[in-house]
Order: sequence, then C-alpha cells, then structure tokens
Amino acid sequence: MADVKLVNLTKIFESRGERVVAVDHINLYVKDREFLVLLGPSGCGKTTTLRMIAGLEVPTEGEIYIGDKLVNDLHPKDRDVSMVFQNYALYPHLTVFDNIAFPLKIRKYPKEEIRRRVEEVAELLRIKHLLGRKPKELSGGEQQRVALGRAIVRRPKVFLMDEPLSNLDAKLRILMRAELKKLQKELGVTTIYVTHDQVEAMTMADRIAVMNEGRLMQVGTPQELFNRPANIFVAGFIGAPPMNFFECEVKEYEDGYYFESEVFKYRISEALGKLVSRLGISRVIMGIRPHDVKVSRGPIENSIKAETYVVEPLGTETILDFKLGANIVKAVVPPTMRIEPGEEVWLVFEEDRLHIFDKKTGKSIYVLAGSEEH
Amino acid sequence: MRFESRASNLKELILSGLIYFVVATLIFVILLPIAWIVVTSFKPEPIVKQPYIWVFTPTLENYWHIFKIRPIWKPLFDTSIIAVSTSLLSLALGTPAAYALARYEFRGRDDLAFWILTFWMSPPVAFVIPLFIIFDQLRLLDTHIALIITHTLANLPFVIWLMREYINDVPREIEEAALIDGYSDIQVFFRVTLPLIKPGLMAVGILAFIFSWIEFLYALIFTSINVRMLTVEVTSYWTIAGVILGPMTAAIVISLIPAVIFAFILQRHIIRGLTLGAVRGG
Repeated sequence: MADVKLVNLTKIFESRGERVVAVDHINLYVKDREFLVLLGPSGCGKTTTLRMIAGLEVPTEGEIYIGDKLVNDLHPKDRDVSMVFQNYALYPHLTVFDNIAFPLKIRKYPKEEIRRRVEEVAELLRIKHLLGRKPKELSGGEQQRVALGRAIVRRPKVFLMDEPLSNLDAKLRILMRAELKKLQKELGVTTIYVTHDQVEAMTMADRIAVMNEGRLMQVGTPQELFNRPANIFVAGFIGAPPMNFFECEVKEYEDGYYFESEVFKYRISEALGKLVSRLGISRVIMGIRPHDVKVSRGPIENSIKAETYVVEPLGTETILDFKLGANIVKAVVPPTMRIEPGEEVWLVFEEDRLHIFDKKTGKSIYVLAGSEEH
Repeated sequence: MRFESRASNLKELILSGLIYFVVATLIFVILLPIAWIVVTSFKPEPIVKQPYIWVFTPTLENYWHIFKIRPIWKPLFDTSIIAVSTSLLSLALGTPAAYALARYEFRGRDDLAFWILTFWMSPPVAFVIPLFIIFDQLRLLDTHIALIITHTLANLPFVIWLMREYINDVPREIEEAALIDGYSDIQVFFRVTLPLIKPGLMAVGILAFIFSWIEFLYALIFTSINVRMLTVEVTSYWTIAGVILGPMTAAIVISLIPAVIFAFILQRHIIRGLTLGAVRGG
C-alpha cells in the first residue's frame, strides 16, 4: 500500500517544431487507499498524467513518488503499479486464465500459487466459467472484468485506470461503477482513475482532481467541488444540467449594492457588495445551479422576469428552460409544478446559493477572499 | 414489381457474366505461356518444337535429361540455400527495424522510413556495378553469400514497410500492458509483439523467399560456376547449337513448383492476417 505524490509534474510534447504543453506543473498528493479521480475534458492532460505515473511517458520536468520512492527513472515493471486500459489491452493469443496469470508468471510465482490466485480473482469478478476462453469470445463487460482481474491479481501498490468503463453500454456502466468502487474499498489499494464523465467521477471518487488544458483546476471531495467550485471551469464542468452563468457589473447605489447584467438588476447584500468591492472586482460572473433556481408565478422582491421556452419532464423532476434576454436559464423543479411554454414567470436566486467569480481571472471570490486572509 | 426485380436480376446476370469474361480472359493470357511450357516439357523430342500439337503420348525423357544427363540438383540446392537464407535474414534484420520505425519516436523517423522506401523504387541494375566491385574486393563473387547479401538488401525495403504495417496493427496498449505487467522492452518485442505478428512474418517471409527464388539479374552477374541459381541454369539450355527446348521447359517447370506452392500458402496467410486484424480491431 502506498501514497502517490506528484511534484511540479510537466510534460511537453514536441513534434515537427510544435510544442504542446500537455501537463503543466501539477502538484498532487494521493493518500494511501484513496480513490482519486482525474477528471477533465478530452485533451486536458489527465491520461498523460496517468501514463507518466505508470512509466509509459517520461516527464519533461518534475517528480513522481510512489510511497517514499522517487520513481522517475524506474521502468514500468519496477514501479509495482497495474493499469486497466480503455480498450482493455488483453493479450489476444492467450486464454482468460493466462491473461490474468500473466503478471504472476513473469514474476515467476510457483504454479500452484498462480492457479490459486487466478481462481480467487476469477471468483471475485464472477468470471470463473470463462477461464478457458480467448478474449475475442467474450463480451465487452466480460473483457473488462478480465482486464480488472489482471490488474488486481498481483496486489500492486497502485491501480491506474484509464477510462475503463467508457466502452461499456450505459446500463452495464452504472452497474460496474458501483462494483468497482466496492472492489477498491475491499482491496484497499490506492487508485488513480481517469475519466471525462463527471457523473462517474462524482459517484466513485473519494476526491476528484479536475484538470483543464494541462493544469490542475481544483482538488477536493465531490461535495466540495459541487458546493464550492474554485473557478468558473470547475463550476461549469461539474453538475448536470450545468450551472447558469451571467456576466454582471458590480454597482453601488444609495440603497445598496447591485449586480447588473444586460437584462436584469439583482440586489445583493451589504456584506457581499463590500467583499467584492474590497477585492477590487468590477465585473463578475454570477453562477447558479439549475436546482437552486426558484420559480415563482408572480412577481416577488428581487426576482427576475423570464419567459418559459422549453419544458422537459423527466418524471422525477422537470427541467425548464427560460429565455432571459439572449441567455437561456435552466431550472430544475419538482414534477408537480406545471408550467407551459410561453408562460411568464419570475426567477429567484437566493444569495447563499450563488457562485461568484472574478470575470478577469475566473476565480471564485470566496477563494480570493480566503487567500487574502493568509 | 415482379418485372422490375426480373430486370435488375438480368442486369446483375449480365454484369457478373461480363466480370467472369474479363477475368477468364486475363487468366487465359497469363496462364497460356505456362500451360504451353508444362505441355512442352512432356513432349517427345520430334514434336517438341511444334507448338500446335496438343495431343500426344507424354514422355518423361526431358525430365530424365535434366536430372540425369545435366543434373539440376546443384542449381536447385543453391537456389534453395539462397532463397531460404535471404528470407530468414530479411526478416531478422527487417522486423526489428520495422519495430523501431513503428514504435519509437525519434527525429527524422518518417523521413528515414521514406528514404528506405525509395530503394524499392530504384532500378536493381543501378546497384550492379558498385556491388560487383565490392564483392570482387571481398573475394565474394560466385559465392552464396554474395547473392544472399544482395537479395536481402533488395528485399529489406518492402520487408520493413510491410512489417511496420503489421506492427502498427498491434494495439500499442497491449505492449504497454505487458511493460507494466513486468516485461522489459526486449521481452515485450519477443514475447508479445512477435507472436501477434506471426501471420505477417509468414506472409512477408514467403514473399521474400519468392522474390529471391525468381531473381535473375544479380544471379547472372555475381555468380557463374560455383553457384548457379535456377533462373540462370534455365538459360544455359540456350546454346550455340540452338535452344534445347525439351529439357529447358522441364527445368522451368521444376523451378516453378516451389514458387507456386509458396504462393498458395501465402494467399492463405494474407487472408488470415487480414481477418485477425479485423478481430483485434473489434
């Protein structure tokens, strides 16, 4: 068992004179036994980071520690990690048994122990009846289990998983999500899991590290990321449907502070106004999650008038799209609330549900205020 | 409805008939000289130069001639040695080169690959004089080694290019998985990649064998008495006294047999190689 530490990890790809910074000075600490998810859009550098930890890619700069050991110069086979690939990468010429036994055979385990361990793992993953088959005779879900089996049979220090569920159909993916999480807790092996699917990240992770354009945007528990996104990117990436954003100017009038957008004027509390002006921010991005948008049929104080555009009933809840000037605002309401397209409503944003970001830096004002204190 | 489907059936019938006709014509044009050679090789001496006679009592006298009077054993042996060695040496040198070009990133990789390909496009005769001088100085003229080296050099460009394609078909992740599972880079090549490209090795090896087996120009110039390739041996029936047609055609038939057998094996392997690729991709 081991923790993993990345210090200033950087990878620059150079080909035909073009320099691409795939991973840009990442610092990350993964605790022992933790399930950490690297989350981000495609091309954000998450897979490159994972491949550097595995030893398949050489870092341009920075250090990788597994346990207390600096592993930068260690060959993949000497790092004591195992990896599950997106396309499973099973050995097509070997049977399921030999695929799972492969890492043990290389390490010259006694025959009897290999057989015992492979059968144990096959039992755990419920693939015992498949041991004699070749990979091409298996379904996608079965292949996925074999790949997992090959990874866990060796009891490595760290599991590395590169979008292992993305080739499964939706139903199986949800099933495997829960199983994988349970398995990780049972085995207690530190796991770094790469995905672009925020639902997968939210449901499985102990902590999530969100990446964009090679940089680490925020690291935290799913709840932290959801409730207190540190910047606009994380705010927009996590949560479905995604957060609504409005660009506003901060104005101070005689009767108090306001966020003014092109289409609405929203009164904010004295404390928030003072905080924003103390930070010297004149333009903000105001964000609110669709679940936090309150919908009223009549005008109430500090509410914003909008026109209903689309109604999407999902059964357990209803997604409403409103037109607000040129913007579309999404709200999620209980299915009992019946609103027709074209109906005029008033939207209420409660201040403690707002996420406010500096327009210039994209950073959350709460993060800015927090760092100011230090 | 019925009429329409009948019309389209007719169209299909005409089209497939046309295709069969074209293919049959092509096969006829290609196979006629070979059929003529095979038939002639069984003709008795008096009618051997009368191509229009197709019905006669076949005889083995021409074959008796090439095996007993002027033995073909030596050229058959020489050609086998050279073709087999060429095939194995081409694979042994070409596969690691192809692996490096397929898997390792280095400056000028694609340029190097293309440069290798240009040798395939150049006329073989361009290399005759420099190679002749080199072999002369190394005292290698008229040896098996000279032809093995030359044929291997001539084969390497296509061996490297074809093997590179086969290696590219092996998903990178399978090799990476093996690296993480505990193999060194060299072990991955020998224990994972090579078994997976076996069909490719067979196909390309057979191609290299056939190319060497039927090579004439270098064989004619670099060898004479000690070493004799079948292709050169066949021309020796072309004497001052005229062409000794019977034994010559018999010698051609004998020299064709291995090439034909391997071509059939090759055909099977190329098809198998392709389907394996499809399964792996799926």
